[in-house]
Amino acid sequence: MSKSKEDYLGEIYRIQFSNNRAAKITEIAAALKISKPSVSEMARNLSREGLVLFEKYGGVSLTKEGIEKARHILRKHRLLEVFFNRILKIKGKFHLEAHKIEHGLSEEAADKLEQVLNNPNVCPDGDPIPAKKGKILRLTELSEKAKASVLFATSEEKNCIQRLNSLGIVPKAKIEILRRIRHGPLMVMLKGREVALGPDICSNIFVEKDEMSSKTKKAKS
Amino acid sequence: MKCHQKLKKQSHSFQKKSGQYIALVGNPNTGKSCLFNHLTGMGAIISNYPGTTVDILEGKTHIEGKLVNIVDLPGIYALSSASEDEKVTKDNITKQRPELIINVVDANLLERNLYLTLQLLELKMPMLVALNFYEELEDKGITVNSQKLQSLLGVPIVPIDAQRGAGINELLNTSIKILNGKIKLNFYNVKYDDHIEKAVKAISKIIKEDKIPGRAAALNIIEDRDIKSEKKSKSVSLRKIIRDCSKEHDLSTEISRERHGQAALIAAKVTQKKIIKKSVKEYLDRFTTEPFTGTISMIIILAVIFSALFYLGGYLSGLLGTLFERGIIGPLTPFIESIPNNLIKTSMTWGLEGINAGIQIALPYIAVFYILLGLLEDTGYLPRMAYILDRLMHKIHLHGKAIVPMMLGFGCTVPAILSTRVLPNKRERILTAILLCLIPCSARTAVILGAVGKFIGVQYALLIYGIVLLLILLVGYILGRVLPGESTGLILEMPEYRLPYLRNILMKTWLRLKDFIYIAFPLVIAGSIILGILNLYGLLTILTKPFDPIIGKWLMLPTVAGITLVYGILRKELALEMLMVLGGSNVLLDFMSPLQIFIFTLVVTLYFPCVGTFAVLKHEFGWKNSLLIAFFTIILAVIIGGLIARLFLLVGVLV
Repeated sequence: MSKSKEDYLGEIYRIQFSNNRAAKITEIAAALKISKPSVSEMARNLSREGLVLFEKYGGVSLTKEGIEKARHILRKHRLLEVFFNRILKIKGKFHLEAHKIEHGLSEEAADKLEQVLNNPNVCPDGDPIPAKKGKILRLTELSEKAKASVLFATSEEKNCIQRLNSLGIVPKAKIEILRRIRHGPLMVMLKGREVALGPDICSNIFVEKDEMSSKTKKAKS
Repeated sequence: MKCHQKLKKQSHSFQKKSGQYIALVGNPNTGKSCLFNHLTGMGAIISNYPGTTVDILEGKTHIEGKLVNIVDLPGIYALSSASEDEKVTKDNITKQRPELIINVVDANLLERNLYLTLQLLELKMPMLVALNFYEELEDKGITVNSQKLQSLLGVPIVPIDAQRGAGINELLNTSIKILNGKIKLNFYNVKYDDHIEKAVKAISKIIKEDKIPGRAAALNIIEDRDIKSEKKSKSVSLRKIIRDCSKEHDLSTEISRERHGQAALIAAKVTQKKIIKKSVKEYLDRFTTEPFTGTISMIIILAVIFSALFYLGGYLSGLLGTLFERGIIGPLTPFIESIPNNLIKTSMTWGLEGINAGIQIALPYIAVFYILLGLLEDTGYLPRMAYILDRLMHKIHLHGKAIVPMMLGFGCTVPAILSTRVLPNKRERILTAILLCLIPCSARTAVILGAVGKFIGVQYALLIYGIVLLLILLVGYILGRVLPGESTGLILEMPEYRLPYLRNILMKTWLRLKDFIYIAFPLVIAGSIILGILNLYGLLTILTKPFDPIIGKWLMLPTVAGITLVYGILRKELALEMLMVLGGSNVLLDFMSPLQIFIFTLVVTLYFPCVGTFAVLKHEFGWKNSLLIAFFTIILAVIIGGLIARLFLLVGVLV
């Protein structure tokens, strides 16, 4: 896989799961600093390879295979970020540095790096590091009927966390996805009662899938 | 607009006067207001969704000959300051210090409810737990051992059924025993992890708090992250303590986690569960929240509401009108004709006309709407609708939670604006409030159906709703981009589906209609008489002339319509009633063209959101914002009204 293809997948993943919707061509173009036509062209290529779904007006969303690939890349990228930031004490430019060498990093090296860094959960920007076997997921990545345990929640607003805490969304809490609306809110079961959670909130709740059904890492886009 | 009675209770805290105070505290939708009604004999509005009560309600009751004040506080999940209603409840408990807290707990959701109970116990204030919905447990195969719970928590537990009133006597007896100091309370104390206890100890040493125990105050400071309000020197050391004691997660999250953990432990000790098969409720729940069936059922429900309003309301309107004309106006006419004094004669004729218009327009539509709204509220459907519409609401930079105030807004804008207090931040509250001013309340629906629906046709009434809806989406979209900040996102608990009690729905409808009868009717009569007298002395033309450029030229309405729009500021449906009185006929077509009726109705729907709404806007958001909103709606109404009139002329609709 060529270098830029990986960048695309990573970027689409980031947009898709932090907003719980398909990524728009304009967003990808802005993030990667390239022209919209070339983004469209790449999207068509990726779609042909079965890595993304490309709807002309709906935007680009990763398929299951695409998600797997993207998680691989992001894992390396974010592990490297931690390394540059924590060990080499590079502030600010760690993202660029990681970007330059992530594509060359082998699987084995990434595993070693993870060990040395003491299995970090998040990158310096606060984004979760995908585990090799799908350890951390955003709540939005779970499919219906999935059961999971909460790891942590993040939010810009302190009130939001407090609200989630008082409802019972705290580390280790059990949560079950009952229903979901495409690109919309999730209905979850929490301590015996149904609670509707907006997509923006769900994408900032990080969970670990319960062992029972964790064989398939399925994510609805 | 109804429900002005809410305005009288807007205080953000209760003022202690004579007698002892009992505060009702609990999670949202646990039946506090229902219990309040039973205890005080008062009529607080109760519904089946979280956040019905956003105000503090006060009432009195006699226990063993002693006068006791009961205070109903908005429902909260935790003692925090995360939203307006939570802050109100917290402040009223910790600062006003009632003599007794009755913690109302939903027995079905013991584990979740106990979280707040444990937090309340930390305050070490006299308290008892009322275990509500106890009778529902049996259907679910759950048993809760209240004796065991009592010995664990160290405060009395009384099972009650707030809807039917069972267990209330025991609740009162236990309350009075606690108030008289006859029951010894051992408050359960949550023990936290060492690093949290260390932080709590350090913080309680440096803060001064005389109203609540230092331990509770310290926990509160960590949980609320409320450090800014402290003095500079203090806040620095507070921050340092919190930072030094923090481990893997944020301290406040860890406190929360451990309290939840102990709540779960206690709940598990006292609860026994048998697995039983799925109930109808669960199927219904599924059906109404699956994306496809949920959307379909929502559309059907809304269509049923609209047709009931149009057909049933229209039928009642005709019936009442005929009855009034035959039974009252008919027999009275010869008598009025015989009055020699012109002034009295005019007053009586116009006054009667006013009553006639009021009975025909407002009463039937408004009553029918409130009965339907009551059904939606009491079954527990409203929050499901919020869930289904969350995605659409994102397009106007709000989220699903704003749907509940908006649906209330179809009834009356005043309580709807108050109910925005459940929204998480000020930006969302203001944005929702502005949109609420555009939503046709039941008074405006009365005008839409009573004027356009009745005289031009149902499709044009629907067109008005369409135009208004479009404007709401457009205004929401633009304001959402302009107003700084982001919406936090939907967090909304689904209440269980319950069969509505007819008695409760009728009582609610009456409570909401009461104001209409006591406030609106005198206004209608007085207003009609004033118009009659002005007309008698030929003053009407002089008064309406200055507005002619806007009313006559731009909006192309009869000049007299201007004065009726002024009446509409008092109450929206007055505008139409006065128009009928002025036109001298209940048949609008006698003196207005269909296009004029349409434009008049559209303008009435959009412009200045009545005095009641203005007062509540001012109370909630201040002078500047409320004046801006009022000004904005007037401009919008005038511009849209004139534009639509010209558009229709151009296209040839309604001409």
